[in-house]
Amino acid sequence: MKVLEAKRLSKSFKYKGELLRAVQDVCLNIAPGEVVAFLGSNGAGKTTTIKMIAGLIKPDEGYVQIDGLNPYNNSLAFKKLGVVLEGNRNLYWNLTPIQNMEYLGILKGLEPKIARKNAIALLERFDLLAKAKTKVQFLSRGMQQKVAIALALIHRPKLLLLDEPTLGLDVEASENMKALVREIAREGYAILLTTHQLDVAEELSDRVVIIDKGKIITEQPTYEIIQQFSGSAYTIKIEGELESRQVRMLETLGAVVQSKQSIYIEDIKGLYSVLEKLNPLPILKVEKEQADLTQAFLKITRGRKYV
Amino acid sequence: MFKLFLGECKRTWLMFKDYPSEAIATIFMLTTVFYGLVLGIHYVAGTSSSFGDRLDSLVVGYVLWALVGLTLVYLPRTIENEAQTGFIEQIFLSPFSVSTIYLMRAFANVALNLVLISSVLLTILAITKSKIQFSLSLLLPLSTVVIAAIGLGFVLGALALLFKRIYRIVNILEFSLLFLLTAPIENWGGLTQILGQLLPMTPGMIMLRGIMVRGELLNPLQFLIAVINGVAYFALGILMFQAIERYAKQKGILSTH
Repeated sequence: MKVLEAKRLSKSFKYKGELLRAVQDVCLNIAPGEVVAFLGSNGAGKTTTIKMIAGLIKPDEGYVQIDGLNPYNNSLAFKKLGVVLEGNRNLYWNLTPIQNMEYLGILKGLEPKIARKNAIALLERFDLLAKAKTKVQFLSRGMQQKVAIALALIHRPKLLLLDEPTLGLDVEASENMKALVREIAREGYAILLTTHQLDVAEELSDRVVIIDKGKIITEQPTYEIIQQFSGSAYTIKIEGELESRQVRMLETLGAVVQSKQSIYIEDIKGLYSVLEKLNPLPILKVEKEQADLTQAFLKITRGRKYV
Repeated sequence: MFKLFLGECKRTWLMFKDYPSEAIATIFMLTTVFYGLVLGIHYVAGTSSSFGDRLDSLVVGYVLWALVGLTLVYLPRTIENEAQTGFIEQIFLSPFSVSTIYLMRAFANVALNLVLISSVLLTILAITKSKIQFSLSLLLPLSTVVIAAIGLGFVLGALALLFKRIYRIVNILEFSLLFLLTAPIENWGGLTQILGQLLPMTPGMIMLRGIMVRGELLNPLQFLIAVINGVAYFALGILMFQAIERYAKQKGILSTH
């Protein structure tokens, strides 16, 4: 079952007399409890796609269904959708968190009593109850961000669109936010996450979708995409230093010794041959060369620039 | 819908109550401008001149201009501000239609403005010693004026969605209304009076002046004209706003400031 089903979305804009094809044939599905990172460089078509999914921009072609409802012809679809765009743009800064949540709850069609009940439960869960009556403008950036997410959950949507949820947060607030997103996903919310902080996307997402020049160029589980761009080489670190005799011996096996403490081996076959020769020297660490999402993203998008 | 209206009333009040200085400044400014206006007319007409009924008409026209002005600028300014802060997107993400939400907001704002304007009226009456008659029947023509003003607010709100910054247009329109609402159209003759009644809010204004200044009874035919006028401008505003909303979604220009 899919919470989000976006099929063949296309959108063009006229810019200085020319037709700019911002998004072409984009398909995107998300299942309950799944976190999908939607990545792309500036101007790749991310925001236009997100806004088409949210019902803020009407697609020229294709359709969107949120839990089976199309936001363009059934406004009940908005009851299934929670959105936090560009940080915390869903807040009134001169109202308190609870006032904001009660109001947005009503705007989402909740009974005032239910909105208040949900607001208190969310603020308690997000550890914000003590700040429930403090105006948003006096809260820390991290707290404002938490309120923004709590606000998007006030009507218990099925799909949550999170745009740059950790932007501008310090390390601790950022870690708290990531933990929160994981927790929300575990509860069954489908989450579409856009961010330029690829380490955040790597930590949080189950699947990565990369858009470039308006087209989706990659869609894979996060683990697989990282593995795909990771090498097969290993590095061994030993305690103390190797003697020149030992270095020469290892080099005959194809290993490269760096600074007499670190040995680089190109594949797993060579790894065991080197380990045998190192026996009984104390080993500090054996590490496989591992790419991260940033490297994978850059390889994919830069590779396309020269196509 | 009623719960949405109550929610909007609460939000309007919460956002208003923290800035009492703004309310005081509005009352002070409106009263001072009126006083300046009267002094100016005295100066031009000579110190021995007496306003009589015309002063009462001026009071009614001015106070309604203030109410209409506050009603008119509310939607375009709200849309401009919320497009800049980004909150406007939440309005467009509600199961209620955007025009319904803004309509409830406009009603909540009118309720608040009525309190403010009543304070201005009482202050002006105390200063000018003007004697205006109040009766419940005033509410009928007043509602036609307010409905038309909300409709014009939606027209300006639609322009704000489209062009983003329209405060100069709003300011010009606000002051040109002063002429519209104080002009004695009921004294004009023949075709001019008929054309005058087609202008926004004027039939309701004519009735209000008749009841408050000359102590006339509610004229059912004039009231019918006022209702048609109010509903027509209201419908024009809503329809234009909805058309621009669709256009903005089509062109992707919501909150792109």
